[in-house]
Amino acid sequence: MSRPAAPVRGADQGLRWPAALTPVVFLVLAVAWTWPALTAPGLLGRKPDAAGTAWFISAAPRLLHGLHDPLTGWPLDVHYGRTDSFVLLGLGALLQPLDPARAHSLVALVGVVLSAWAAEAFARALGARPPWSLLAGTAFAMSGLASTALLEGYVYHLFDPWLPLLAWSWYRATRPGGTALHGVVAGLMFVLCLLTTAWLGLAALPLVVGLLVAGLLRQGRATRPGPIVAAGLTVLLPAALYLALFLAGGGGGQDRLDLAGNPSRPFLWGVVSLAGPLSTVDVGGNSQANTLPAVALVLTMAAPVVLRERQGWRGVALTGLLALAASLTPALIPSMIVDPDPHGLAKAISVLGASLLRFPDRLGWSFLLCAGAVGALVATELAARAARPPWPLLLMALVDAFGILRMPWRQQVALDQAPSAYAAARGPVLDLWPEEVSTAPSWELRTTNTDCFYQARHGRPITDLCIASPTLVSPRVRLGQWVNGQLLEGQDQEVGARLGALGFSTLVLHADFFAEADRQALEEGLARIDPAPARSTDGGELVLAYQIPVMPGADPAQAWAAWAR
Amino acid sequence: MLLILALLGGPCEGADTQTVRIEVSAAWKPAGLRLEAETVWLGQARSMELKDDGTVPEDHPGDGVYSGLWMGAPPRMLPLHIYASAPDLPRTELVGSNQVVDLGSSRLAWSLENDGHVYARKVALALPDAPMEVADTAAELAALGWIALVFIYVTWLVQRLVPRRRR
Repeated sequence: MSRPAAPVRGADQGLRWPAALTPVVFLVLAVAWTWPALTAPGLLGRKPDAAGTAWFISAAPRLLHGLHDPLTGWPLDVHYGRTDSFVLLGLGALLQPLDPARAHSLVALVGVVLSAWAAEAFARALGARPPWSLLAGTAFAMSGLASTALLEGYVYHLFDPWLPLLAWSWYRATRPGGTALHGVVAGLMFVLCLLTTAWLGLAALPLVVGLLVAGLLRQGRATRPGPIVAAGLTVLLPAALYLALFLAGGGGGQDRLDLAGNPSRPFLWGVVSLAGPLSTVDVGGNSQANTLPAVALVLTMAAPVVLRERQGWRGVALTGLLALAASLTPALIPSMIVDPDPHGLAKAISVLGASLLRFPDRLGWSFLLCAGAVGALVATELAARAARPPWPLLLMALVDAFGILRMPWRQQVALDQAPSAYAAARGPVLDLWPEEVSTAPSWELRTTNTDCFYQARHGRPITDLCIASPTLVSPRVRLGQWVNGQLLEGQDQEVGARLGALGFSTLVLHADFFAEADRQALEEGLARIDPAPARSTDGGELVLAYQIPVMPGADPAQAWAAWAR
Repeated sequence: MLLILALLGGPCEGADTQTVRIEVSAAWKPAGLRLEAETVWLGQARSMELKDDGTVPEDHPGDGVYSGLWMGAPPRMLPLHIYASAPDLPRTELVGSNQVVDLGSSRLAWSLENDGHVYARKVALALPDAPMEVADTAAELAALGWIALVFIYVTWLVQRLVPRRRR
């Protein structure tokens, strides 16, 4: 892309770095950073998303048939149009021979290696040389955002070599010498970002806009439209299809941020966590820390001095700053722009805003990539001029990835077994949990994803919706509330008849989590339906599985429609 | 190859024995304070008194951190209740929530607070006689100090290696 402007005379001259060493180094670092993913003693992740992601991997072959899953959402025929990751769908199908919890760990581990390697390749394409180009890999794939994805359990966010490859191909497409092929590759990489998760598709937008503007400013009227048009045409059809599926699956859900259930956090909180995660970061409902890697940040700040005579890096650096600014979007905006009763285009914008502003820090992925690449270029230039290579920079990058983020020490592992009581019978299962006292979504998310993870183990149909479906209330939650109420009022015969009509063969009581008095009342009522329930404590909780009498000739879908009216 | 072998296995058996350590740091400590924890562990009701007398392993007597330890087959999640009582304090529920357990060994910590009403705030670590805000501030200052250190090193490199005419 660009050549070093100054002759290289430093100690770095004699450094030999075999190309194969780069992925090996990243593999070793990734094994340490994602530990204990390699030994996989259980399900990796602190938050309920880990269980949901593991279920998704197990369900991939079923979901590939039109995004319908006959084994969840019983007795509804649910269409999961709002599937977040189509890439994970493909990976999940490929990883079927593996246990889902182990496949979950594998996606995390391999994802970090591939993402780091791709970011390093982008830095090399800008002119950085190994080992300094490795700084780009650690800044991108072992960053605060990556740690959030790993700790919270949605590991497919880590499987993102696409964004660096998009940056590389789009950079080439918008520069002199760019070809239609560069544009097509850039378009494909953007689509892969979008298909990995909508968040990465959104995160790619500042990169696309920034590099395009930088390219247009540099070339002026000499800009060749061919590569840009080729990229646009490549993106058009898949993006339209994606949007159609998204809307069919219920779109972004709430169209107002204040109703979205997970409002943006205070601006100051986001700024504070840029330096490092607070000690309390993992205590609440999430593990979010958009901590910036200090080495990449400071080296990028030095770029105007060190890279003064080089070309091509400024657009990348400014693109990174644009992404950083977008990621710091404060929570002030919604109250200023959100229409209390949006319609048409205003509604579409509001839905996008309500979705986007929930986690604006995810827009920072593009900053991490750009700062890492420019930082690696600065380090290369400094090393070329030094009598002794500035090795401390590499050590400092490791402190950023491991020390400041406290990885992998913040990681947790959950039991990856399911209670054996599920194996006592066949047919659809209703999981009965206590209702949540507070309005926070975490209990419903936790219980739903636990049920889904168990489903991946026992293989029987369940009532939970295992993928967010904004237009539907979870049948499990709705039915569970009714069953709890009926049993506590002593209406056990009504419960047995209704569940039989809905096609259930088993009601599973998650007994540990009910208040003692409620638990006794529920067990007494259910004992009149099945006096000898299957009982197990081997899956991490006491589970009682009651068999529901079969109702001959039942039409569960019709019975549900009649009951849920 | 090792990677493939390690990942190809089936579900793990997990840890045989789970330990759950409950800690409450009590900077506010009324005379005769008694802290009790209750749970249902795989269907079995359990309760214990949290102590600060050095009888619980790793506990430093009198440091203001009350601890208790449960062991058993691994649970996924525990319904946990912690109560405080003292001669001048009626039995008060400080904690009543379901807590996720980290497989093998889990440490759950709270800080006892009294700002007119008595409650417990969940914290990352139960620190003796130091509010969590101090630890948070120290961590943030350390992170900012780290950025400053990197900045100083890079500035030194630039001053040494980049000729003045280029700056």
